[in-house]
Amino acid sequence: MKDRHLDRDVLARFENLRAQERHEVLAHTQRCGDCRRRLAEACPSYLFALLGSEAIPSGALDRLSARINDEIDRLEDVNRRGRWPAWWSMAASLLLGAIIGGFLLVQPDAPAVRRAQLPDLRGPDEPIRAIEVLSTPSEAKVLDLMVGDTEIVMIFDEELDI
Amino acid sequence: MRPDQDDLELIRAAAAGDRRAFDELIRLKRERVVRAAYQITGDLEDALDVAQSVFLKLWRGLERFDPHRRFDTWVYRITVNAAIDMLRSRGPRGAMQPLPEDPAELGRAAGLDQEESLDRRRLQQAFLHLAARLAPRQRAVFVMREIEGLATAEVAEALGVTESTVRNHLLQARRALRAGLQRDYPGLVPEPPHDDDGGRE
Repeated sequence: MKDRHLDRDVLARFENLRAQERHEVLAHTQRCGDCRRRLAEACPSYLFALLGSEAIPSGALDRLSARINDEIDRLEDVNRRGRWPAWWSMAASLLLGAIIGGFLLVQPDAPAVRRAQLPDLRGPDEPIRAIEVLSTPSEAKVLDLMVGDTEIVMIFDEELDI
Repeated sequence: MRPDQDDLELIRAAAAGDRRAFDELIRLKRERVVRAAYQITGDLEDALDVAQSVFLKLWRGLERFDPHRRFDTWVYRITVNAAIDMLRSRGPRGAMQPLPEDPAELGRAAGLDQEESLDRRRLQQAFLHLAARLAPRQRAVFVMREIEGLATAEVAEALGVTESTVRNHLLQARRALRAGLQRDYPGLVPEPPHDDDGGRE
């Protein structure tokens, strides 16, 4: 179908032409006013198929490529920088873990010694005699605890500024 | 934008992070992406923004591309969705302008007569004007099917709709454009010839 005028068969099949045949038909129709007329008679909106070969200014396309490359450079740079803190924090965690682990290995009974040094606050025969939970207008919680003869008052208040 | 082995090689290389392969992929696809976006948005700068977002999405998601499917359909899908989003978020423009003349294209058109050159510019202006009245999906279907020449099945796949929906959108778009052409641009639709001999080779 090299540079031949459009016939009825081609016009009837226009919608279903293969890509190559369609390209040739439209290339011819660009140049041939008679065939454009025939195409418009078959269906006026077929004329808009001629816009499929509309050229985009090459300057705009080059600008687009440059913009895309700049943006990819920027994204890769951000990714590279974003990855370092994660590596650093992972390395620091490992180092800290190794230090604590090493310390415990060298002094395996250190926690037990410290526990033995704590004063015994309550003897086994001294029951908790009263627990009273009070609420205050400021939503603070007050826990009144009697251990033997000792009264312990605990105040839980998020607004309390000490 | 026919898929071929070269495309697949480029896609694989670009998906593996090869910037030169991706540059080549951009060079091969950019004009059709910009043109499709332009015919939907009606504005070259908007079309360039859409194309930029399309290629960045491709860069980030190329490894997800299924090589058993058509790459071009996938690219069209991203392009059309981005262009429709742009059209909806931006709202209708006032007067839309045809593409600026490309010096290289002007050189190629030098052999054509003055009437032919005017015809293309007016045709583009008519399309931008009349297509602005179409719903975004109708416009996208018309651009892909009629201007870019995709098959109905490809348009349906790109838009994630059935083929009958595509045909329905196309029918409505054609009807509206035909009426607009005859009403507003009678010079673009020639009078029926009186000496119709038909079947001329």
